[in-house]
Amino acid sequence: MKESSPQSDFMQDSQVELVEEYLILLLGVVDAPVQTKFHVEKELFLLSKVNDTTENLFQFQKHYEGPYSQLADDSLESPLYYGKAFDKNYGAFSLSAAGKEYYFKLVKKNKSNPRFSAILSIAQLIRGLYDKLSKEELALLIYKTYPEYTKYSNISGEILDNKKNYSNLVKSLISKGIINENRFSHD
Amino acid sequence: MKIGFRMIDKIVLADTSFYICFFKYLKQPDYLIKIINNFKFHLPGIVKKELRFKEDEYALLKSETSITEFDDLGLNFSVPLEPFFGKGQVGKGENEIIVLAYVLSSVTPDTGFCFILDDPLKRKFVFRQIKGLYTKMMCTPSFIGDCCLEHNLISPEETLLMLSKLKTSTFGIDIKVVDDLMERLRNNGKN
Repeated sequence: MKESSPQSDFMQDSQVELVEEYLILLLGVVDAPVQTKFHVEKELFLLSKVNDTTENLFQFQKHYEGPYSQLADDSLESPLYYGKAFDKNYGAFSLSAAGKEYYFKLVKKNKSNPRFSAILSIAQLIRGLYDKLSKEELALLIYKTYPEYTKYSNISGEILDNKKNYSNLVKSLISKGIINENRFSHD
Repeated sequence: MKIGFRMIDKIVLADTSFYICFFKYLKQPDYLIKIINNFKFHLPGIVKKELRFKEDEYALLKSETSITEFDDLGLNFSVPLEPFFGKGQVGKGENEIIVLAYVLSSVTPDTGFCFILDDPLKRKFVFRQIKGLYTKMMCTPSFIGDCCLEHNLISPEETLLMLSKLKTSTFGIDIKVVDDLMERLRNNGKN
């Protein structure tokens, strides 16, 4: 696989700045808020795994609601480079008017970069697929796929080990056509 | 020497099952070569890896067709679908095809493009979860049908023979789709 630095995606030299840019892209690529910070973190986690180099950039950790990135959390709450980019409304996150301007500038600046365009499309796909899940449904899918992140988690027990809860969540995902009956059949 | 030339301006992404269909089930790689050389077939990384396990077939594709190896840009395209289908190797190629198809349809919306996916589970997922994409999705039999009805690459008689073979094989197909297609072929393309 071709290696490239994270910076080469967006031509920036600061890791914090790059994290903020990823957040702006993730929140801006769909014109609707992301319902919780948990959703933002997990969607960013998946996006980071698409690109090996950014997986290290975000430093996702095993955490009580892990996977969790302190850097992404800090950037979302108080961005250093893109001030007032994010709006928080009843726990949901979206871009502010300034954030939307940053988003369009970033897209315009990188429009001829095929890697950037691919990452942006994938961010849009991730938003489309995961925004609509409840926090518990999203947590179930993440913990079943990346079980190493159940370590230190204080929600994985309720989701994976509480049989009734687990069964209801699986049924809900199946009824929505998100997974099929065999997804966790080896359990 | 590569047979034929590209005359149809359409990018095609196909899952491994499409290639295997011609090699193993139809035993007619000549048709596969002809089809590939008349479209812009792109071969994504995981599908290429899966095909490379079948050395002779892969060598034939490399030597006889104009298939383009897809530049994966250093990205792991199958990742966004892993939580829905698992992280294992099985089905990874299909996940990659779906995500790549999404990227291609977003980045170049005006380009002629389709993707071929046979797994009914994955097809259902695209249909229900990625609504904008399913209009670009085909299965191997319907693509073969299009090669006859839309592009005149294969005669109706040859196509009917191929579809009959598939119907009696263990290749996973939707019988209704194949029956409808055969009916259309018998009616000279009319529904």
